[in-house]
Amino acid sequence: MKYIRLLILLFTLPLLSCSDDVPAASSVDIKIVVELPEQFSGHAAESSTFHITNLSTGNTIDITRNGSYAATVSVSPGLYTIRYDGTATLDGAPEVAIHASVSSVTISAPTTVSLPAYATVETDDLIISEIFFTGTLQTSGNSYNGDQYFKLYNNTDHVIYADGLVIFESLFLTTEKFNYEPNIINSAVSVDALYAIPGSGKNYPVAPGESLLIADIAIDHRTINPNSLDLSHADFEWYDVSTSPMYTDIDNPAVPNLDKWYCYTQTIWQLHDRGFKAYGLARIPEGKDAFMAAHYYTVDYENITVAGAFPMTKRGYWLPNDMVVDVVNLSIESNYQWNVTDPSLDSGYTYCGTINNDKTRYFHSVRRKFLAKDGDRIVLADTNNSGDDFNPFVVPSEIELQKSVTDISGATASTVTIDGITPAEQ
Amino acid sequence: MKRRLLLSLSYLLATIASYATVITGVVLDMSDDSPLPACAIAISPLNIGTQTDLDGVFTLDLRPGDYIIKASYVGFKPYEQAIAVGSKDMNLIIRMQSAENVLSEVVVTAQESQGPTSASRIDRAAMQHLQPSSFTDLLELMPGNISQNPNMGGVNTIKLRETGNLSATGTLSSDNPDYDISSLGTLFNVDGAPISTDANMQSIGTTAANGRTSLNRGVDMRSLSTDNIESVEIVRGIPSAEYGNLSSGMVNIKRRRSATPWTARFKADGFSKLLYAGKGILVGPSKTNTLNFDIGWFDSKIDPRDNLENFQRITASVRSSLHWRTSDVNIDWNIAGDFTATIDKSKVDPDLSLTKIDEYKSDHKETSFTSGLSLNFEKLSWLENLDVNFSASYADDRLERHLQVAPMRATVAPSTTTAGVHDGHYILGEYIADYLAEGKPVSIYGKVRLSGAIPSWQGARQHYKLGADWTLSKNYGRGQVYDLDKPLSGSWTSRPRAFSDIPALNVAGAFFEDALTAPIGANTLEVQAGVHLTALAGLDKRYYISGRPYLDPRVNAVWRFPAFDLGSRQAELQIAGGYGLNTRMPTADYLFPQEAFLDILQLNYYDTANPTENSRVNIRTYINDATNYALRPARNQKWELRFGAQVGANKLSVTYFQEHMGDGFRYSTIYGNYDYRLYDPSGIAPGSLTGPPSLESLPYRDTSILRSFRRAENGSTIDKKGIEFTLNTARWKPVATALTVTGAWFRTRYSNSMMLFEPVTDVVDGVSVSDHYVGLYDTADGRINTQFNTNFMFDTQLPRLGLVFTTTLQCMWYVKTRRLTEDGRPTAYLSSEDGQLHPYDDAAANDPMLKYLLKYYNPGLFDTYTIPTALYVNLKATKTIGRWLRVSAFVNRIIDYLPDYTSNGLKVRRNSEAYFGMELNFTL
Repeated sequence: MKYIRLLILLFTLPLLSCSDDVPAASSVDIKIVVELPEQFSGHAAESSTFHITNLSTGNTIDITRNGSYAATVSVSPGLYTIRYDGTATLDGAPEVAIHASVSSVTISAPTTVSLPAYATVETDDLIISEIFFTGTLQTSGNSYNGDQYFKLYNNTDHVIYADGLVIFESLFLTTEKFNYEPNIINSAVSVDALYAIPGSGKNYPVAPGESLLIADIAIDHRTINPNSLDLSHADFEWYDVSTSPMYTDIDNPAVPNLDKWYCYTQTIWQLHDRGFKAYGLARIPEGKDAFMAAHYYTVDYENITVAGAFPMTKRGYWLPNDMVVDVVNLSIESNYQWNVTDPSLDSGYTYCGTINNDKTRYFHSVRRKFLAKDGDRIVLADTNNSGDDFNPFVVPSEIELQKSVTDISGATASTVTIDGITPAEQ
Repeated sequence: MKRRLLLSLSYLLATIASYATVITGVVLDMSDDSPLPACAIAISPLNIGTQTDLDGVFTLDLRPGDYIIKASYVGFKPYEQAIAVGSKDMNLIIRMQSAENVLSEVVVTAQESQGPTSASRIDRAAMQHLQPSSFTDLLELMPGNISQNPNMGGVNTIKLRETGNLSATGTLSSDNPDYDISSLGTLFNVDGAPISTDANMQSIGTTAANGRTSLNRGVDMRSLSTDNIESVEIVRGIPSAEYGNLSSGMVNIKRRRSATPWTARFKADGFSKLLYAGKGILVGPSKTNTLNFDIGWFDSKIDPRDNLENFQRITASVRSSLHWRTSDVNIDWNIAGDFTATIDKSKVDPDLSLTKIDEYKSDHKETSFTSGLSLNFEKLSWLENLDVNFSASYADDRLERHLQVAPMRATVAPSTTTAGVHDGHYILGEYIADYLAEGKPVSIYGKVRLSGAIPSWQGARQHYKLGADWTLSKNYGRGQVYDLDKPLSGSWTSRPRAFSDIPALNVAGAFFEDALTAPIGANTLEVQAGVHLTALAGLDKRYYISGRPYLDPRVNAVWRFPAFDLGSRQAELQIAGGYGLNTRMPTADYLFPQEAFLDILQLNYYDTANPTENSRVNIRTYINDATNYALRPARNQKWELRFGAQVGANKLSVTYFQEHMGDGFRYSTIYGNYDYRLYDPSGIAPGSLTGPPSLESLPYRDTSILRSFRRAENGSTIDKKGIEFTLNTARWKPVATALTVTGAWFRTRYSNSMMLFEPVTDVVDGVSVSDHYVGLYDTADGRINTQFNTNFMFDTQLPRLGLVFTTTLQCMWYVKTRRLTEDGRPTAYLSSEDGQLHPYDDAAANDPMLKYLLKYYNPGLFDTYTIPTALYVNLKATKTIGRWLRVSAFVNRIIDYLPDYTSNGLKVRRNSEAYFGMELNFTL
């Protein structure tokens, strides 16, 4: 019978096609070489540690090679993230940390992996000390995000003027890595929103150890959502002017608005409430008009989906790395793919929640870690690694200070901390 | 029934009273003398009977007398024998002859029409074997289609001779309203009366609710049960000029009107359950009239794991066919009363979703009456038939939304229903929103048709058809009913509207058609030529369409070559072709759209000290008439060429077709310049107010802005071409199997036919670009899709075992889709400064704001995406057990062959899930 033969053929066809066998795994030797920043070339490493993490197994090998910037190690083939931590001292200068990393390298054969290194430089400007991007929940359990805010902190020992400081949002998601073309990550951050603190230069001084609260909407949100916060005391707010009732923002006339340079959306700018983007600060010496005219660009990529790769385009602004003051990559463990900024700007990420759409993320923020006290002034960690520098998934400072609601059950905050973990009494 | 009961009773009494004679018999298969168990034995004229046991033996007690004994067994010829029963007991041997060679085979597939146009005919036997849940499932038998899993979570629309809208991944996306004309333009005719959907207005706001409502999309095939259908004819080619107000094709449904025993059907599959019971009886003094009645219930889950979303259908139907005969005229009158209810429900799971209350329910309850009166004049040749059709339907539609709305921030609700300046208010906090769309569409249809012979030359025959029809559609519903202060979302801008305010839509039609059959030598030529005239009556004079009749000329012709012998078989060849224009009038929604409300915020002052008392929102509202008076009907131009061959019982039909429609309906965005007064509240010190700020005290600036609304346009193009083929082979006796090969190659181009305004979303230096500049792009926003498939159906029929078994190999050889190349440079731009169009020149391209109108497309976007071969095997079986039970089962995609393929260097894996079910059919 003809069709039975056809059936047999059909049964066997899938069997025939299952032949892409992978050779058995065996170890390969790789050489890891740290490429030092120029000023360090020729200087010996004082301490030197390599961390080699297999992304599929999660296993990490730590190798210490004090005095050397290179190491050879035998690993099984796979996908790796390699980090380097070391210290070095330039003639007559204090000890500086040297970090290097490369993420998501596929190792299948003996090879040399080079890690571009950088030294942590203390930022002589405001830094981001907190991002509250998750928002709160309303009494019914629906989300509310009008109460998002940033806190900027003066981590130095002198007054910093906030005037002209630009807050930006990355164009790319940390949970989506594609073959972006052109790839400018080593020289610039691709951004889709730029909002500047107003002022002509010396209007907004920030004393050492003081911070600025920058809110989306600087009002008492408890009028709308009893579980939310009072942000009417914010120093600035970002107000998105709209004439359409379909999307309206609210302006508190008593709180100065940020100067909206550019935003990708016609509606209102909200922070990514699962935290898939990077947020940062920049100083743009050339000013708004010159920057806006010269830095718009188009990036092509292929969107990789289960149904194949699809050519796509994004457009945004490129912000040269040397203008970036501080940047914080946000992501979540289950979906993290890459840092959307150069490792010299940020070599780690911080988070609220651990899985995608984590319902416990609401009422939480990321807060920069307490490092030390210099007299009364609190010094916060700043090693350009958000993973190290931030306490992830902690109670926001404004919730602590206002003793407001911390979760859907209606429980309220009782303690005040410096960084979400360290008690304030310390 | 009563009489029968009396008879049995009297028989029973008689048996008791008199001495009975015992008749013992055995029923054997004539071919091998094997006993036939459970064979039905009946004694006439007495109304008694019995069944044989496992050894084929039966026993009966009878009074002496003359009787006829009847034996019947599935797969065997009926047996009858006269017996004279005396006082002595009798032994009988009944040998039954297998009916294998005499039973006509059941046709379990669609048959290609032998008439002048290309059409597929699906009969009851094919439907029974297919085991459909709704009309949608029948389309699997059409050339170009393969079996699909049921999708009861959205409207099921028909598409003929096209690939359908494909997404970039080559998968079907059914929700593109720009090409609704595909299904809207297909006419569904049930027993001579069209299903009118023109007054359907069910929607949420101004948009169809995520594919859940059939606004402007024609007939929702989910609501059509197949259980009382006798046959379906799906006209893919050029329909007869008799039928109007259609653009792509038509579906002719003929329902059962004959005496049938009680039949009951129970179907269950992974998604749904179906129950049906029906019966047809002969009525009237001479038993020439029929009365059929049936009820059905269908309950489906969209996802078998989800109890919160389901679709139900309840149908009840009473149909009668009455006949009178006089010496001059034969009268046939078909009348029917029908009730159909569909309930589409969906809720969110409060445990899985942040939103605790979110319910959707859409009910449709339709009652209809259909009458078809046919007078056949036997003695007149110029007037052979006069047909009068009438139908009326009334539906009660309720679409309800019950939703907890929790704005993510303070939002503004515009609540005025008049134009001008007024205050709105902030929505502060959560609330429960209730939305109702109440539609009561009424449709009345009438048609008169005359037909008769026209004298013609020797040997030729010529018939004419002449008639007119009228459809009135009107909605009497209260329409959208909701509280403007509690809209369904924080970004709500439309307003309630009563459907009863919308005028009635009157579609008038008239037609003339001539059918000629002429022998030319040994050849035969059949020509069917006619015109259909469609017009909208009673429409406001401002409409371009008003008072304009649209003429659809349609011609179909077949040339049949003389039959010849090919070996031992007789062969016939034919060539056919057709050309026709097909016009579909716009629906009530397209012609009488809701007014477009444009609300512009002039003042947005939120008082931080006392938000509930001292805030003020000032809105200027413009009301635009969204009516497009220039709207024209959608017209589809079709032509086709067909080749048909028949060798013995083998049949082949190959059709090439082309269709072009350049004026399909779509909603386009219309931009305009609107003035407003922008107040500056930045000088207000919060806490200083004792009430909302007065407008007079605030500084302001008079300015203007670009805003848009939707308007129906003839803006869509659909170009179809393709080849359809069907091959039926003769049954191959040794394995009792016949092969049917159907398939098609389709190439469909979906595109816009007018330039498009496309806003950009960039906000530069605090100013939204599209508030001031919107580009007009001479662009093509559609896709070209091609697909090629072939289905091989092996059907094996063993009448002696009561078994029909089909194995279908469904091969989708490839599906390709390519986005039409777009140019991102606008040809012109609209400016809010003067509301005028300006050419987009190089100076504009370098302007700091206007440069954002230059759109950029990744060139790879326009590459062709190909999905390679996908093969599936479907099995279906029907087994008749005894006299009254038939069991059927099916498994779709029991085997699949879905090879991996690469897309831009990326490996793509595919998988499919089997879909299976079974059913029991009882015939009592």
